[in-house]
Amino acid sequence: MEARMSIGKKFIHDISHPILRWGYIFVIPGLLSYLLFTFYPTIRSLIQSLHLIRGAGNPWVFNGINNYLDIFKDKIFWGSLKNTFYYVALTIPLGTIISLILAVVLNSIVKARGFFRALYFIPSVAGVIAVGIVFSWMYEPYLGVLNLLLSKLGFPRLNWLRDLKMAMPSIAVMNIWQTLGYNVVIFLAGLLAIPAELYEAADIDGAKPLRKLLSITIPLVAPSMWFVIINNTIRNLQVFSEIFVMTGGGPGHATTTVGFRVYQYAFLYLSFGKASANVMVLLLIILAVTLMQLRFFERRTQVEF
Amino acid sequence: MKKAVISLVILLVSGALIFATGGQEEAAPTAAAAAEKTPIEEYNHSFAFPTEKIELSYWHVLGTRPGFHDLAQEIGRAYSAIHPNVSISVREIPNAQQRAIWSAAFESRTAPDIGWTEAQVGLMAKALVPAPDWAARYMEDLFTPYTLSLSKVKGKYYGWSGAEVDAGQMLYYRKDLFREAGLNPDNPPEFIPDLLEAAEKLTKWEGGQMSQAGIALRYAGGHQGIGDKFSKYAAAWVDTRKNFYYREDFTDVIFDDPGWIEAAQFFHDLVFKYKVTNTTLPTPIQAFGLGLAAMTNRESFFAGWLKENAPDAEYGIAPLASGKAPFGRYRTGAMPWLALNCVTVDSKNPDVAWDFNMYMVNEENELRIAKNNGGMSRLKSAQDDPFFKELPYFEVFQTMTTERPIVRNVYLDPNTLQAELEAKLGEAAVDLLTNENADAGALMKDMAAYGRKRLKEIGVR
Repeated sequence: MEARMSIGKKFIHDISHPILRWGYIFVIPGLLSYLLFTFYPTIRSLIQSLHLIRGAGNPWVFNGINNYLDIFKDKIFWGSLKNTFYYVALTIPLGTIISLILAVVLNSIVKARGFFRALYFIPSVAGVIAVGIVFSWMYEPYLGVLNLLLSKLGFPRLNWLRDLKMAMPSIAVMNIWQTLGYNVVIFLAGLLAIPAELYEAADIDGAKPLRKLLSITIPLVAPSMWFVIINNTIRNLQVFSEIFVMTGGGPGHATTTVGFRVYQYAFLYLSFGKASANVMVLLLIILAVTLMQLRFFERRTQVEF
Repeated sequence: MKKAVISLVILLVSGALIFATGGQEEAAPTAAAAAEKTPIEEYNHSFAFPTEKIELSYWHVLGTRPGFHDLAQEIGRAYSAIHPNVSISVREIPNAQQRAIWSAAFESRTAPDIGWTEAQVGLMAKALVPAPDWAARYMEDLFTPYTLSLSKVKGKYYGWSGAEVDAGQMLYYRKDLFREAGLNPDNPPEFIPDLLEAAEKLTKWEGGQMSQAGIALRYAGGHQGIGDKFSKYAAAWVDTRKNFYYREDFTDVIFDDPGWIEAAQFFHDLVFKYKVTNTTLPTPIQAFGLGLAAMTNRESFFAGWLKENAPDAEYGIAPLASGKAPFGRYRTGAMPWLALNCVTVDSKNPDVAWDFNMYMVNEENELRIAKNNGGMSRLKSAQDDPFFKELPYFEVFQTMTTERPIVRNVYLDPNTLQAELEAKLGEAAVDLLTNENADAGALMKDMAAYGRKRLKEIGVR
C-alpha cells in the first residue's frame, strides 16, 4: 500500500513539475504506438484464437481451446515447427560467425574503410522481397545463373528451391547474405569499443594475432554477439517473407514454417481463429527461446540485458 | 543548409501536387456522351441518377491479361463522359496476394465499390451486394444461359463472371514434341489411359534428371490453385453431374469415396510409379512454353499467354481427358472457374456501382473485354462473331459445353466452404506429388474428416 502510494505520489509530483513532466510527455507517443500496434493486436489475437471466425459478415463463435487442439493435431504444424527450428539452426550460427569474421577484417582495413562498410551494408537496405525475387531467379534450375555456372564447370544442374532437401538451405543462404551487413555494423560497434590499450599490452607481451582474437576480441565483443544472436533468432523464428516469395512453403511442405502457416490458415483456409491461435503458439515459442537465450548469455557475460 | 531545406520543401510540395492531381484523366463531356444512357437509366426508369460528386473505385486482379488495366480505365473514362459527376479509379491488385488483400478489405470494411474477386471469398464474408432486379434483367437480356449460370448463387446474381467464359481447364499439348515422340499431333489423348501412354512416350531423361516431362502438374504456389488443378483430374473418377466435393444435397463431402481415392492414387503414381512428371520443373505454364513438358491442363487464357510469351510453341488444345477403365469411368465436362465482377457492401453508392458494373459489360465493352482477355463472349448477340470461332479453343469449348455433361460447379457452394476445402485438397495434392510414401487413401479420408468437421462447425451437419 505504501509503495503504491509512493508511485502515485511520485507520478503526481512529476507531472506537476515544470521540467519533469516533459519526460512523460515525450514517452506518450511511443507508449501510444506500443499500445496501438503491439498490445492491442496481441490481445485481439488472443481473443480471436478462442473463436471460430468466418470472415467479416459472420458472427464470431466461441470455440474455447479447440483451435489450439486442431493445430496440434495437424501434422503440417509439427513439420512447420521442425522447419522453423531448422531454418534458425542454419542461419544463426553461420550468419553470426561470418559477420564477426567480416567485421574483424573490416575493422583492420585502413584505406577505403567507409566504402567497404557501405558495400557490405547495402544488401541490408534492399527489401527482403526484392532480394528474394533476385535469388529465386538465380536459383532457377533451367534459366538461373548458378546452374549456368555449374554446367560451365561440368557439374550437374541442381534443383535448389525445388529439391526437398535443398530448398531450406537455399533460403538460408539468401537470409545470411541479406542480413550480413546489419550484423557487421553491430559487431563493428562492439569492436570499436574495445580499448586499444589491451591490444597494445598484448603486443608487448608478444601475443600472436590468433591469441589476441581469442583472448581479447571475442570475449569483449561477446555482448554484441549475444545481441546479434538473440535479435536474429527472434526475427528468424517468425520467418515469412522469404518463404512467401521464394517457395510458397514448398516443395511439398519442406519450407512451410510456423509463421507461413499463419498466412495459410488466414488466407487459404480463411480460418482467422486458427491463424490467431497459430500466432499465439509462435509468440510462446519465441518467448521461451528468448528467455532461455537471455539466461544462458547473462551467465556468460559481464553485461546484464 | 537553408537552401537545401528550401529545395526539399519545394520538392515535397511539387510532388504532393503532382500526386494529388494525377490519376484518371477527366474526359471532356461531349454531346454524344451526354445523350447516351447507362444501363440503370435504360432498365430502371424510376431511378433518378444522383447529381452530387461520386467517386467509385474498381479493383481487379487481371494484370496477367495484358491490356485489361488500360481498357478498364478507358471504360471508366467513357462512363464519366456520360455522367461527369462520377469518377472511376481503377486499381490492379497482384493475383498472388488477392485473397489476402480482399480478405483484409472485407474485414476492415474498406473494400472498393466494384471489384473482381473470388465468388466464395466475398460470399463467405457476406460482403457482396446481390444484383438489383433491373441488373438481373439486364444480364438475362444480354448473356447466354451458360454465362448466367456462372454468376448465380442460391438463386441470385452477384455480378458477372469475371474469369474468362470458357470450358474451364483444357488439355494443352505440344504438337512438335508429339511428332518427335512418334505420336500423331492431330490425335490428342481422349481418355486417361491414352493420356498416360502418351505421357510415358513423351518423357525424357538426361543424366538421371527429367529433361522433358510427359505432363506438367501444378505442385507449387497457393494450395487452392493446386487443389483446383488436382480436382479436375479427379473428375474422370467422380460423377460430377451430381457430386463433386459434396453430395447432391450439400450436407456431406465425398472425398473418401472410392473415386476420389483412386484419383489421388493415380495422381501420386504419375510422379512415383509412371515417372512422367516431377516437381523439379518450373511452373506448368513455363514448363510447357519452354518445351520442358509436353502436356498440361489450363484455361483459355493460357492461349493468350502462349501467344505473348512463347509464340513459336506449336501446340494444340483438346478437351480434358475422360475416365475409362481402369482409370476412371466418367466423361469430363466443362468446369469454368468462378470469379465475379461484383459490387461490395462497402460501396456508398451501390446503385451507381451496379450501373458501372453493368456498363462494363454492355454490348460494346463486353466484346472489347472478351477479345482482350480471352474466352468466349458472354453476349447472346456475339455467339456468331467470327473472332471467337477462330479462337484455338472454340471447338473444345463447343464440345465440352454441349457434348459433355454439365459439371456441378464447385464454386457455387452454398456453404461457402469451397475455398478452404480446395486449399486443404491442395495440401493433400502436395503430399501426393512430393512424398513417395504418401498414402492416398489416408489423405483423402483425412480430407473428408476435415470437410465433415467444418460442416458441423457451420451447423450443416
